[in-house]
Amino acid sequence: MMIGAKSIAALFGCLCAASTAWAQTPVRLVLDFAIQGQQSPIVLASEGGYFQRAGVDVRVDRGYGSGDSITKVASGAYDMAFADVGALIIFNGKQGATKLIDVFQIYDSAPMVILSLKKSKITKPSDLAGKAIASPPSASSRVMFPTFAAVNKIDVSNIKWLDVTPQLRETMLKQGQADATTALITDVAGLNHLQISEDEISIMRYSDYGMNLYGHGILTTPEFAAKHPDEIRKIVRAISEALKAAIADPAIAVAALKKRDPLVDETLERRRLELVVANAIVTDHVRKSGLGAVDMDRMQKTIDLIAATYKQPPMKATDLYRGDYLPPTDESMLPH
Amino acid sequence: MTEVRGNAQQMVVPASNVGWVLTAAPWLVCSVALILWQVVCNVFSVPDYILPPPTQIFAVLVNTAGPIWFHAKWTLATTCIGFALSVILGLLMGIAVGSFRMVYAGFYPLLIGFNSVPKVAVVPILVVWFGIGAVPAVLTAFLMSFFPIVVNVATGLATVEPELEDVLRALGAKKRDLILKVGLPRSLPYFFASLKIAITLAFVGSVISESIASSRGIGTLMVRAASDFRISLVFAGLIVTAAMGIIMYVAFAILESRMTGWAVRRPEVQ
Amino acid sequence: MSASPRSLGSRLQFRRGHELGPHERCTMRNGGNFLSIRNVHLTYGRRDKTEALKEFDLNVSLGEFVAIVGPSGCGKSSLMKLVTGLLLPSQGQIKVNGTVVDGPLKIVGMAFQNPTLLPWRKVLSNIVLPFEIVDEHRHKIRSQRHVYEEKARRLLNAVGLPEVENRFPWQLSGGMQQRVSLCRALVHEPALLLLDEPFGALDAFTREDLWDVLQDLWMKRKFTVIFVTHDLHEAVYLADKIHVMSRRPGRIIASYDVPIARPRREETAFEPVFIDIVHSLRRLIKLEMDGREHAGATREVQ
Repeated sequence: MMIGAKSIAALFGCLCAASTAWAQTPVRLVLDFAIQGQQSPIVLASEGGYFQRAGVDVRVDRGYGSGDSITKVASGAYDMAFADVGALIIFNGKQGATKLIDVFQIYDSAPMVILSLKKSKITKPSDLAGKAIASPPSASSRVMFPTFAAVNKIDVSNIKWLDVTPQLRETMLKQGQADATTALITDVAGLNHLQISEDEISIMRYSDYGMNLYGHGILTTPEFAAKHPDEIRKIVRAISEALKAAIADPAIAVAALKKRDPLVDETLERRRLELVVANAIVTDHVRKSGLGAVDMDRMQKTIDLIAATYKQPPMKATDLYRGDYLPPTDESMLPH
Repeated sequence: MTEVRGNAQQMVVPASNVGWVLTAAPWLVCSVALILWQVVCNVFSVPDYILPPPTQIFAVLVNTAGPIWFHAKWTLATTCIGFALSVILGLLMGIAVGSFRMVYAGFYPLLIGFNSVPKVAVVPILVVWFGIGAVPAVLTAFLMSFFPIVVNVATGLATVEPELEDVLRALGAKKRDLILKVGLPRSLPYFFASLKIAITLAFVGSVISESIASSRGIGTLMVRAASDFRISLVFAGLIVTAAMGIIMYVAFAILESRMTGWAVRRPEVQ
Repeated sequence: MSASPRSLGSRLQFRRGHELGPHERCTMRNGGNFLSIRNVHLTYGRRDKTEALKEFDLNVSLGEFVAIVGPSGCGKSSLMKLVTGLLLPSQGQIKVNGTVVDGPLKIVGMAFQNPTLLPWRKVLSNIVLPFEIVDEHRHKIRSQRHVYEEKARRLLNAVGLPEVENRFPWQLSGGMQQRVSLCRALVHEPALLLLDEPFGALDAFTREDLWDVLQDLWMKRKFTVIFVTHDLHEAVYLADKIHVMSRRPGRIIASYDVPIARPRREETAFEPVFIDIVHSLRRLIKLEMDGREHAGATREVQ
């Protein structure tokens, strides 16, 4: 069969369209960790069609720790990340340059905690001296621990660190192999899942002890932002809407999770989502000023505190955080 | 008749030149690779959190020598203990499997299944059972290096010539005699060959276990360094691990040639 | 010179006490037969039963040098295993020195075509191996190793290899290895020596050399030998008596005396008696191989 001129023209046309339609290449977004309840709003943005309706193609992949996700964006393996801004501040500091910027602040308050069983009698930071703490080295709560220790003047010399993969953290605590663990508030749900009830758990919030930090946000490189400002706006808006929907009805977000991975335990993930929403996302500030609204003074304080711990020159908050991609305030406000 | 075959001059090597080149070859290849690496990093300005240049890695090695050696010693210790376990148990199991048909039939499929399970998945279970510490690392090193030894010893035992068995059995030799006097010595070349492989696998096992749950060891060092964005330290850890693996491999290769020169028709070292 | 005209070209009956030359022969005990195989059947294989031997009879006197020849695949090797007790007959009885064989005999020495020396042991250590296994000696070998090594050395000298005791087997030629194998087979002074085509893999000159080695050893030490071979010259050169086996399932179909004086040398092979026996053997075996019934074949009677 001879290939006719018409078919060749059609093929050629397709190729041209493909090469010029840069919007067709998906934006690669990497999460901070495995796909659980706290990541479900972003998954909802993908599975629930929010990205699609905004006119962007986003591929959402799981991550292996905030630090790792940041490195992946810096190296170009990914375009954007959902990761802890504290880890980013350390990274930028070490590189001596603004390798990544924060375009949408999701956790208004970093929900980092020290979890322990009540019977270990760890009620204040100084109790941690000389204890065995289980923690994945790349967890943001662990990465922020030196700052936490410095602020609270904890004697860290005798702390025995048990480096574990995240899934072993709760088991270590339950078995008594570890006295405490650095975690996020969502890990309480994991402990509940292991039949440890609320009243057996002692929660020490970093935010109660001088660590009023900003937490996870959507991060990207300045270069990517400069090249695709519209796309970023659309992505931020889509995530913001999905977030609002998830806050209003967690069940939808969990359903999106289930669609992506049929093996999820819905009760567990819903609990995780509710914990992160209540503790990290919907704070008084957010209720007043809307999702993603950032207090630049507080952002600078976050930077200064971390930079001091790592003996780095603090960068300017305005370099780190760019608010120009947010949707208009009235769209970001949560219903009362 | 005084003809003799198989003397040392059989492998004709022209002069001592070639021998010298052969020994230097791996070092040459390594050096060239390192130089290339450095050049690529410099020319393309590769960020050091992606691929640090050798000079930086070397500097880190020197500066953090103390902690690196502390962790390396730990990994070396757990590896060697796990390896010793797999040598002893591997030898015993290999003899059992190679000498007795029932044992072969009953256990071999299980062993294969066992070996196919990725040890990364097994480590968390070991940690839950035995706690963080040396035990999961030792056990993982053992689990990874055990199987090649069993297989090789069993193979060596299974290849005894039937005529030799007949000669000895006609004299009244029992199964024990055959295993000790014929089977085992015959399987020694196979055994030593497997040791070289097993030791490197044992290393892998230890480091894997450490990177999942540990408080000490090169694996721990590398994971912590990665979380601190100190990628050159990660590479330094990798290089130290590789170096330890090579040293152990060479050590066992030398041992092998000492003990089993007869297998490759090499005259005894005077 | 001592050839009897009647022995030429005809099948012979077993005769007792026939002279073989100037050398004395041991008198026989226990009614004459050192080894007696009576109406033995041997079948093996689980599914396709292969009949290796059927209605097999054989008698060997003490100190006799007996050769067994026959077409290939006739069960000669199975015969070896039966005699040593490594295999038990499906039917029938084997007696050695009056006792029924029901397990490994322990008074035999064996050598095969493949010398099967242990490559990790030096020559001397290889030869001494039987002493490490035979019940009588294995407990003594540690304390009296030098005694046993002396025996091994004497044998090495006897086979013409005085200087190889510290070499490894792979440093020796095939002929030398086979000599060492013979030493190993004889070191524990077995009453019965079983040789299964031991010189089959060697070149003609080496083989003829080793014939003399074996003959000298036998003449000095006077053990009983059963020698399996497909080389008819070899059989006639070495043996007192040659038994011919049929095709599978094997049994003895003819026996020939070899009334040639010892020691036999190279020239003996050209004597008419020698050549005649070889011819007769060849004809018989060819008939067997062609599958035709040989005329008037009957089994030998004592």
